[in-house]
Amino acid sequence: MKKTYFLELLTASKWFLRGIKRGDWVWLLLAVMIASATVTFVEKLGQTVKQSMVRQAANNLGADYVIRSSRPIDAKWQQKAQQLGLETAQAQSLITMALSNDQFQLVQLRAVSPNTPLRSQTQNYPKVSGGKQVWAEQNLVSMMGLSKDSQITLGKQTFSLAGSFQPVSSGIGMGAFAYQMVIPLSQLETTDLKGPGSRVGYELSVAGNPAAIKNFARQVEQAENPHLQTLSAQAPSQDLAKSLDTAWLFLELAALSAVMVAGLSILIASRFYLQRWQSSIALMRAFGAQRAQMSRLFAFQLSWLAVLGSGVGVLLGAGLFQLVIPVLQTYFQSLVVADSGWIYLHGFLMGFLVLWGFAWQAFRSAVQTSPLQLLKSVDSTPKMKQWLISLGLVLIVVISMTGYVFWVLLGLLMTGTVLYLAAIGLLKLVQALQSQSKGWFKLSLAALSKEPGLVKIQLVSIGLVLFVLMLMTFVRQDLMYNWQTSLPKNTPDTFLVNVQPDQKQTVIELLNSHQINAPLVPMARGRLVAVNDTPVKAKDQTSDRARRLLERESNIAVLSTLPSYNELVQQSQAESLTSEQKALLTVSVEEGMAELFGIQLNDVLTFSFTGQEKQYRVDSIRRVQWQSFRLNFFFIVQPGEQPSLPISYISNFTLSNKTISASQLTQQLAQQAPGVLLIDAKRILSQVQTIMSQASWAVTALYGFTLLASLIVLFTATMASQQTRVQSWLLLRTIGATQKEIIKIGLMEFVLLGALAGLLAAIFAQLASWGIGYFVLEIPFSFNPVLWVTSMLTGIFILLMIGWLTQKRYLRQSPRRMAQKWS
Amino acid sequence: MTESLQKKFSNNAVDQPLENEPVLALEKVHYHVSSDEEVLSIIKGCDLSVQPGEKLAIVGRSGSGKSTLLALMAGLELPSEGEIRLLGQALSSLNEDERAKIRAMAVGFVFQNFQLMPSMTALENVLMPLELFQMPNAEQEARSALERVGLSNRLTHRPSELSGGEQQRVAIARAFVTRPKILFADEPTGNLDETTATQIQNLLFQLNDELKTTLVLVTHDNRLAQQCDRALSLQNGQLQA
Repeated sequence: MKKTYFLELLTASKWFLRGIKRGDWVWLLLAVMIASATVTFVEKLGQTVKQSMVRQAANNLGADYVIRSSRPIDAKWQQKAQQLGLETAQAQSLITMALSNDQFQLVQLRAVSPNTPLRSQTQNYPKVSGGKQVWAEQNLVSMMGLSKDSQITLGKQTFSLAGSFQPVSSGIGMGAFAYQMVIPLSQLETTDLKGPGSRVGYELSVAGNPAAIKNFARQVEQAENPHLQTLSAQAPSQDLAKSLDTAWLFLELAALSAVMVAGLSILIASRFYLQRWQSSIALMRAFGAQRAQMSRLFAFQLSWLAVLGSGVGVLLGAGLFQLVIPVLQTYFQSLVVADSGWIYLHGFLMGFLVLWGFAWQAFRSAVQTSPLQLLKSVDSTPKMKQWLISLGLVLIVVISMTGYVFWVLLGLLMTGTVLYLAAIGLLKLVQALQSQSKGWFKLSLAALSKEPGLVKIQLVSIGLVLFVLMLMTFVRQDLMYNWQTSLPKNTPDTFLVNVQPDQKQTVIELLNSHQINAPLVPMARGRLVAVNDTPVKAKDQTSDRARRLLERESNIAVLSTLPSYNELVQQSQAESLTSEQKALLTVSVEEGMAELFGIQLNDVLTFSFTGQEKQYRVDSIRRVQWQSFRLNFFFIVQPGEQPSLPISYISNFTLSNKTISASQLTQQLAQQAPGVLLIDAKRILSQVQTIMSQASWAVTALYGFTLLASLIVLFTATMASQQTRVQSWLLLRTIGATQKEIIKIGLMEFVLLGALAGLLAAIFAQLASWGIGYFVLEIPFSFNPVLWVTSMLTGIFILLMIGWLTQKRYLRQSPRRMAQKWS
Repeated sequence: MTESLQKKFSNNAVDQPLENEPVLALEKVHYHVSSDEEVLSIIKGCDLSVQPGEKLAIVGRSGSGKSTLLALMAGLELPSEGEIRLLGQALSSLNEDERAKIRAMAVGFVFQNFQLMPSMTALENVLMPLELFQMPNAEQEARSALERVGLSNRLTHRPSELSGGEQQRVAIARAFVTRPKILFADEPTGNLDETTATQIQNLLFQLNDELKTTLVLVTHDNRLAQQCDRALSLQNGQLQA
């Protein structure tokens, strides 16, 4: 039996090679190549960008993974990390006063082990040695008027300034900012700053092989030690994560549309091949081939096609990626090129799946061909089971490519169904018009309605292709524009935190003197501890995000009116409240937070503000634009009559358009309002903007793939109906139509198809633009009339060009030649 | 037939008919198709016996059921009633794959519209049945079959580059290359002009004699039918002498 299969494989291979030489498989091969090249390229690009960003984040963090604790970290963790082959570094930090030139300054003192940081660009962070030396952040140097070898007293020890450094933005969140001084860890004891009541932060940083890091992180999480906080370069800040998500969504959708369009061309091409396959299978069945044997012989050939197409596609995708490496290098200082074998395997498998998914119907219909077909026509309608198999294979493709499976499938299904219904409507219209028209126009309408099944498929596929093209051209432009401009020019780039109530007036005056008109929002540092008397504990949370949020205090705004730039999603009705509920102060909760902890209107939340517990009733749920860089809060509580909360103020404004620089303002703040921290968010902003331009650029690259796949679809759709078309022209020529009339009739069919497909595509592109903008990107709807006109004109133009290119040799041939060619 | 080809077929062999036993026998064969409204009888109680080496013509007008009868005799379809024995095998007792095995072993076909694969060359078309069953020396066999029908200079031509007569020659070469015991021909000259039709008819008969094949052909061409050993007419679903 095995020998038979082997022999069949040999025969199928021989037939496949002959087919390749003849150019039989060219359309299917191109489509498979495009599908797997797209997947390989996108995956490689995506993983490279992600890994490079993680590396960048690791550089900023100084390590791949950091454990922080307010208590000394058990030495077993360092041993475990070392056992896993990871590098380790230790640090301890505390807030203290530094004295120099008779000037006191609050600083974050970091005592670090000599190998700190494990990951960083050397110019950004000092490499400490063991002596009594201190390194100060650049801002501190200017603020305290320090110079080389300045003497700085920290606790009981005096250090000499060895150098300055500019810490890179940690990207971990605003709270992590503080002006730093760095000393060797071995010197910390000599300062005598670690008294019994002092608040010391302990850190263990690790770096090394990603798998080992993952393993280590898992062990730390499993330990469920409530005193251990972890930071990972894998999890960037909330702002970056959201922007990144949007960027990947675009990339995913662009890649998926290229793959789906390639699939569509396989679907149409396989219909075109089906007739040929059926003839040869019917013949072979008559010669005595068994059905299972035919299935194997054809499956082997299709599989060869998948192997060849996917193989070349993977190479093509990898090659294209090599071309874009120089572009990526301009974005990332330390580019980490993804080199996992899984990328190539995924690209290869996708080629396979796309081919089998979209060609399955044709394959099944072909192998079911009855030999009787040689003698008379036999009806064969594909069974529901076969459609389900096709759908299942396509589903695997979609799932493996996007996280938005439901929306993508819904979109595809709806578009396909409506296009199909529209196609039926058009055919009815064509039939009605036919009786009203005359001459060559009537004949071209007749040609269109002659084979309704095929016209429907053509209309659906061409409509879908134009839809994707319009979506990618116009909607992409629209969305990209809206998206990039969603960070307006005067996006706040500077934050002020830790403004004490008695400093409020001074700060306002200082800002006003520089024409900075910024709101000072009162806030308190607090932590959510219970929802409706049920305690919420970090260790009970299943989601990492929820755990992280509960592990540290967050900024809670204390405001009587909500910010105008927050959108109210739900609001409780005053009339339905009990007097008990009315007596409580209110809190407004951010939508994502409400979802994360299952918070609903009128729930009672308990917050702990530096040990003091207070209860609030949920009065509203808000939607917040995290990407806006405005002052946003998860919770906004109503101020009580007695201002008993430990209030400080926070503010943000745009400094880049002012005459004063960040360091000048920092200096003035230090003098007039000591303790106030100025955070320059431009670095985070520029990271976000870089990601956006990267995504925009990558989407454009993928657009090329879709365009290529679309052209193949259009050509295959034309080829699929070629025989019928030529036969009807033959008939018309035979009954005396002139060549000019044939050309008019022939081309009018393409014009009609193109116009209607263009119209349908425009409707869908406009709808999709609205849908993606509204549901995903949260940007306002914009009507684009140019899209409608362009879509229809493009439809007509492309179809006319394809019609002319593919038909001119037939349109000019004598009836005899035509008949011979298509006999 | 070359030795290797014979060996291949004998390995596959189903029971061989006894000497003087008919190659093909029909006993009270009926065939009807049913639609929503009515049952349509196409073949009504046909009896027939075809001896080895015999040339039998079945004549009938267009739509008389000739092609259906041919499909039944070749085991492409099963009768509604009655029995057909092909090479000694009762077809109704065999499943589709077993019937296919008989065809693979000993049946050849020639069609009115040639049924050549348009993208394949003449040689590749003839090679197809040999390669399908992994026959040894396939290419050599195919070349000699094409040589025998006078197309040794047309091996690499595709059907669209051949005349109608040449295309039918390729189809005949393909039918005879497996040395079938019985050859079914459906209107083999139906698409050809008179001169070419005569040439094809002569070729068919000549190969039939040389290879001692039994020939069953259906045609509406009385002239072709008269050249056969026996001609039967299919009228109202029944065979008449």
